[in-house]
Amino acid sequence: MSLAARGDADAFELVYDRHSGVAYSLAYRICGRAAITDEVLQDAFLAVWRTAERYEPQRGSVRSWILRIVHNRAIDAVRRAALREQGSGDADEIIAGIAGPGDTQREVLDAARARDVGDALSALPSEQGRVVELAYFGGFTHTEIARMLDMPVGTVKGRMRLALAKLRLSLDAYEETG
Amino acid sequence: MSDHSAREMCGDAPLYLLGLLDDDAAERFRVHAAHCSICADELASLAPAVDRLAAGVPQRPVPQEIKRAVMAEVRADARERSQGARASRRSARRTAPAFAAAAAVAALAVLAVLLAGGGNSTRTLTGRVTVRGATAVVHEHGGTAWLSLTGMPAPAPGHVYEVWVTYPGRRLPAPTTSLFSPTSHGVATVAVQHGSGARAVLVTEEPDGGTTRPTAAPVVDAPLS
Repeated sequence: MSLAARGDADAFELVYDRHSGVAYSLAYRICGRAAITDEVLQDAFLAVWRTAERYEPQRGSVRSWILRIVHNRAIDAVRRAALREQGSGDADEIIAGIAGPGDTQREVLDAARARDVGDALSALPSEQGRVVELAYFGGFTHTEIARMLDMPVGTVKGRMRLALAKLRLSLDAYEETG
Repeated sequence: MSDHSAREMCGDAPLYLLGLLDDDAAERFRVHAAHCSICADELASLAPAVDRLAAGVPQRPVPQEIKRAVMAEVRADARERSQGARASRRSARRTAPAFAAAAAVAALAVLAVLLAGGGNSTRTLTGRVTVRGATAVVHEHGGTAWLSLTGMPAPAPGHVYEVWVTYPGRRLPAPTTSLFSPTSHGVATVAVQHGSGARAVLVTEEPDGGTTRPTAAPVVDAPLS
């Protein structure tokens, strides 16, 4: 990454090859449409190239940094496209409308890892799973989620915290037994 | 940051990690977490869940045309940067034409000395490669090393090259975070993170995502010291 930050296109190509797969998959999971996903990925990786010098290793891995950029761009794209307006505003319908594992089964390349995450999400109490789905994959703010689910903002935040803590425990357990 | 806003941000790690804070708020939270042990602990504890949430979505093949478009722009940009640097050098030479040839010769001579390992700045060490026709060179400068490879074949499908570092007294090489595939021309340049006393750089072919200990014989073995 440090070489890419110094303008080394070959080094950047390695970064792209290593991380574009998971980045594309995340973007598609959020956007749900190939055309928008393609634009998001292209836009995000050009942002990675142009801002590579801002990457700080002490704040996390290159992959986490890239995925954060991709996530933000994908959420922005979804908001711009106003995809959510196609739903009725009901939380369950919106969650169903977010591209999920069932939509992409045919093209799954790394099914085991995806299944573990899917299992871990499914194992969450439904009210915790819903806030994570709506926040991370749907791009809704905690205040929007609070309104949708008719609960106080503090409760939404608390459920996010509990959900992430349980997800970590579940995924740690899958890795140990996997 | 006031005590009030600090109190408001305390506990926002889940919002930060899930990408719900705008850029300003995210930056304020980072500053807050740097001084708040509760939030720092929470970030460290919850971040792996979000990382795996992202990495665990069903994988889809990336359309090749995206890479072509991205790399075309990146290479054009890299060329512009390089030409910009050359233009600056040309401008400098125009101000002192009598010294231009001598300066160029001197620069080449210095570069040659450095690349030959004769200078104190960059050392260059040649490694062994098991692949016929491939080359491996390690450049080391002030504790930073990078490995340049040519003639490398693509790893087998579902595999990637992983970089390791050996240390005296350690039976197994230490994994690095560097995983790579060479370009379509068989070229790869990869950073080598290493601690003091590192002896050699190894490259093995491993399953995608890398491993914590080598599962195959090294295809590259290059000295670091």
